[in-house]
Amino acid sequence: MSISQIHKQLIGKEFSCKEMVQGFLGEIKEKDKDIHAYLEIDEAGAMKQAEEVDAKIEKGEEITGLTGVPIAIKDNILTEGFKCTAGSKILENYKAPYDATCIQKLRGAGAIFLGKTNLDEFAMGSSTENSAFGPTKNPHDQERVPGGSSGGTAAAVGAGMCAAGLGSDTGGSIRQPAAFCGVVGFKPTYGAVSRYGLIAMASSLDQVGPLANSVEDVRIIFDAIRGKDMFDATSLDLENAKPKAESLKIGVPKEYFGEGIDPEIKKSVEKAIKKYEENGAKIEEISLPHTDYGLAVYYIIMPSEVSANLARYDGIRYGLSKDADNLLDTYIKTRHNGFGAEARRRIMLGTHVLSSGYYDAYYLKAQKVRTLIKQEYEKAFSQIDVIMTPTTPTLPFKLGDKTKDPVSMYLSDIFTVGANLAGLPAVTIPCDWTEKEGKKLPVGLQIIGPQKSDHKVLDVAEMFKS
Amino acid sequence: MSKNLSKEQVEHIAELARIGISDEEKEKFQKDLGAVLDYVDKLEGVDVADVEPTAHITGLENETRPDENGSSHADVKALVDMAPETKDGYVKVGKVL
Repeated sequence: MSISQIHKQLIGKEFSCKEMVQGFLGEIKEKDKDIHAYLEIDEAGAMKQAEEVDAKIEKGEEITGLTGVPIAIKDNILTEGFKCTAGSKILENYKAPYDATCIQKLRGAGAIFLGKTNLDEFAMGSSTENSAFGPTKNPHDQERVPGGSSGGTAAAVGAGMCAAGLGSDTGGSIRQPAAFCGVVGFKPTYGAVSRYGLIAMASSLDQVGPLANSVEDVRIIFDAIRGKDMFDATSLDLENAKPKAESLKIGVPKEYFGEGIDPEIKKSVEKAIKKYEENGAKIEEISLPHTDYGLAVYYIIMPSEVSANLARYDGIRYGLSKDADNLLDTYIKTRHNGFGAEARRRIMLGTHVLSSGYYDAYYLKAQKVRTLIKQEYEKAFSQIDVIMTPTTPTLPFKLGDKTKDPVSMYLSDIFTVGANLAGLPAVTIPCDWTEKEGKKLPVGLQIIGPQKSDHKVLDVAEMFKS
Repeated sequence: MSKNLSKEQVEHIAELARIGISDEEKEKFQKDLGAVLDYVDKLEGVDVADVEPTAHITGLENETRPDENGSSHADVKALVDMAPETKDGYVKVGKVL
């Protein structure tokens, strides 16, 4: 059921908000013991909010398009009334002391928060297997991962356990799980949504965004949460622009269709792009020669920022705290017990590449290649409107398949990191389904646009007809 | 070229990062970190002469808010109360020196 349908039926009194929320809670009860998308569910709070919505409708008060709409929130976004664990033992009992700006806006619009969803620890991972609280399963095949790090929200949307949800995307963490779970996921322009109240991972790349069943729903949530915020100095406002299918120019970078891509994905994505061509769009092959370097740049810049951001978890002000004889041992014992393997791997990697004697060779070099990647996109967008690529190189993989080899897991982000490095808006839509071992698995088409062209990217996504 | 770190290097990094690691973990981190450093080595082939580094991607500069007191989302007492030890409305910390 779409957000606009929920809205229409609520005001048409075809069902009460209470009945509808009960329906979603029933789905969670039935499915989530197997899928494990949620870390915390607030049944009583959701029902109370639903009653308030019903009372409003009964009185004939005006409601917004999001009033009463049940939403799932990734557990690295502060939401009052819930814990906020970031999937980590170090924040296992941490209660959100305030609402993130995006949550404040959704709350103001009357949305109902069903619960908090699972993620890789501190949003570091591509499968949710790095969560300290156990992995989430893909709703389309429970032997497979839902992707990550926003795997909990993606699985909740894909399994019908919420109407829509929020995730965060640092290198693909909204788009890759959305593609794996067959839903729409949108990473806005860097800064389009305030990061205030999002637990920081890599601050120059992090962005909050929606996951939902349709582009229309994603747009409704995005329009509700976006905008400049005085609490995030990197946040910004957007302009609007409407593209026309007849004059739409789509760039298809050849580097995204070469070695390492699953032939099924290649076929499905090429078929989807062909449909745009049949509807009047002009397709141009382009080249983004620095694509291959994107992931290497990402795996220097991201851990560097991670090592700085995660230094705050020291057992002094909040979160886990382990007693020790002196202050240094308090830090070490707290962080040793609180952080999982991947978090520690990335903290150490970042600490190393930023340390004396290595900074220029790694961090400064990576920042320079980041400039080249940005320029390469800008040059491409002077000739074309949007870029289309596969969202992921592979179909959802099986649990345990990539946990032993970090680099193979990191390659899951190869098609998505570019948009983060260049600050670009990018959306994934399910463009096809393919059968594997008797199960139907989704394929994602990624559409990338120039900075601040968020609405255009969503317009182009909405043109897709399967 | 393999970038495997020495055991001493891993110990040094762990100390800088305030992360306690066990002996078995030292070997594992040597291997894992080495593999990632090998992978990112591919940047050696990129010519970055005369290229400026990018730290912030959308080009905003000197973003400030009005210098006014107040208006945070959070209540100060609620924040202080989250600390494991407090005294007179302050966070209590062990002796540094």
